[in-house]
Amino acid sequence: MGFYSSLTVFTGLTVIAVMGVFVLTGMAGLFSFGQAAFMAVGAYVAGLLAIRMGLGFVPAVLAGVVASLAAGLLVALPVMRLRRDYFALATFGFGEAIRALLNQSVGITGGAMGLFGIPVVTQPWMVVGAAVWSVWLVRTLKRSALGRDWQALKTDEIAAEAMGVPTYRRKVEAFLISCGLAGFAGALFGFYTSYVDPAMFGWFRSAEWIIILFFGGINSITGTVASALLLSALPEFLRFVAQWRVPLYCGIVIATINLRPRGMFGDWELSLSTPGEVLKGVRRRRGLAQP
Amino acid sequence: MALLSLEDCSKHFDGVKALQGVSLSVPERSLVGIIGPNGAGKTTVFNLVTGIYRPTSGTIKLDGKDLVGQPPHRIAAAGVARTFQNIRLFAGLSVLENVQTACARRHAYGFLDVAACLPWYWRKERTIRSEALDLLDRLALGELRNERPGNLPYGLQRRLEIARALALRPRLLLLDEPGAGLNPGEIRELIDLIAELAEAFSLTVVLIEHRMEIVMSLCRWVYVLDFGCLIAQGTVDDVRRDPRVIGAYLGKEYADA
Repeated sequence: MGFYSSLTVFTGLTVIAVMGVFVLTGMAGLFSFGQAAFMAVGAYVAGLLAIRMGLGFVPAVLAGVVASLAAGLLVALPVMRLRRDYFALATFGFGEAIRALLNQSVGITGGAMGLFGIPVVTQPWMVVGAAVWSVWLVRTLKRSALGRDWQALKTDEIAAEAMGVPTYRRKVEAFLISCGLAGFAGALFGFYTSYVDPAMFGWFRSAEWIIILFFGGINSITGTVASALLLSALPEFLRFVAQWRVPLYCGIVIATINLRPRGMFGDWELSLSTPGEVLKGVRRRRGLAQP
Repeated sequence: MALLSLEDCSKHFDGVKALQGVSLSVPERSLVGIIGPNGAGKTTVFNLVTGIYRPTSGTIKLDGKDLVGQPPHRIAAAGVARTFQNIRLFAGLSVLENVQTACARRHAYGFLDVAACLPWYWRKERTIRSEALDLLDRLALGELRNERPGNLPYGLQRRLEIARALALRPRLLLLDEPGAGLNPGEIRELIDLIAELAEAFSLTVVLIEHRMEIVMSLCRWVYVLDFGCLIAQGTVDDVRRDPRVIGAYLGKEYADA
């Protein structure tokens, strides 16, 4: 586990989880302070199946994702009917409850001591591949009918319903996608560090993902990825000032809200046509563009 | 036969009786107006029909099928589209995407279709896009397709809301004060537009309006609400002479005079 290898892995895993938060918070406008708990579910289920039942890497990761989807469904069905502010509170509660459960069931999970001995399988290239895939998935979703439905219900739920958007169903779907991606990141995480403990998945991690999202721009996948790369890599380089991590985040939140409330990138997206557009802009400035 | 019929519908909010025993019937392919002073319960009628509120009592039927208790998105899928008094466009989406959102109902696909990039997902997405573009062109909004709705002038926002409603390919279109905030020139355009669209899309239209010129030019039949009760119905001319209607709008002494 060299420095750059672990940096790549942790940054990639953050990108995967934050893509989930982009769907839930960025597109559907729902705040969850319990998403890290679904990462824990993915990590523990995949890890336990590998240790206790000798399940292979791929089936164990899949089982981890399925388990976090199931946990997500269990939370979503009752909670999604609540108003948005209560939803944030309820997910916070559920997240901490899942963490407490992991702490208490010492016989199965090892409790606060953590879970040891998960085989080390995850390689940096796998995480990079998975991160690229998750960015692709979320970008495709954003441009699909589902993405439009989410953004519609974020601005106006009543108008969205009146235009035929099944808002409850769409919100549950957004939450499940978010839980699935968090669980996926968690499973890969366990297979990299070979050790997980409940303290890794507290609400602070969930809040960190939301901060990353807001710093990058809640409407921009490009911005969210850039901000995930920056904010998860930066503290690794600034290890010598590790105690400043929390103040750093607080500073970022205050600066974002005051200076760029729409995030670094606003609504801007990088696309295949971007180089062409930049070129057109340059030509126009030089007076070369044809009318 | 009536496309939309409300029978003895009431809606109470705790003590407030927003609507009391209102019955109306809207024949297929007709244009019907609902008028009345502020707070008479006109928008409440729309909110009951579209399922945003559930009536305290009474029945609502679309083409003989009961709508009461259905969630709004089902009612929209059943063919009821509406606009809102205070324009409610999707601010985060472009003009085109606003219309696409409604178009997508008739070409639905799910998460797995997208994640697996199944061929019908692309095909449906192309259909949705071309239908939405056709509709925008038809309403002379095609040039503005990449704008945010918030950047459009008020009159065009109203028109975009109509375009979005039409994208559902509704049988019944409910227009809530489509003329509010428009200047006289825009009102003329709006009247022609509604008449033209009703013809082209075989629509049944119910409209709430304060502007008498819109109601007079478009509606064969008018219902008048006051304090949640239906006080009159008939042709525009009948209604205008009705002393109860004059009383509701101008005060009782005018009606007696």
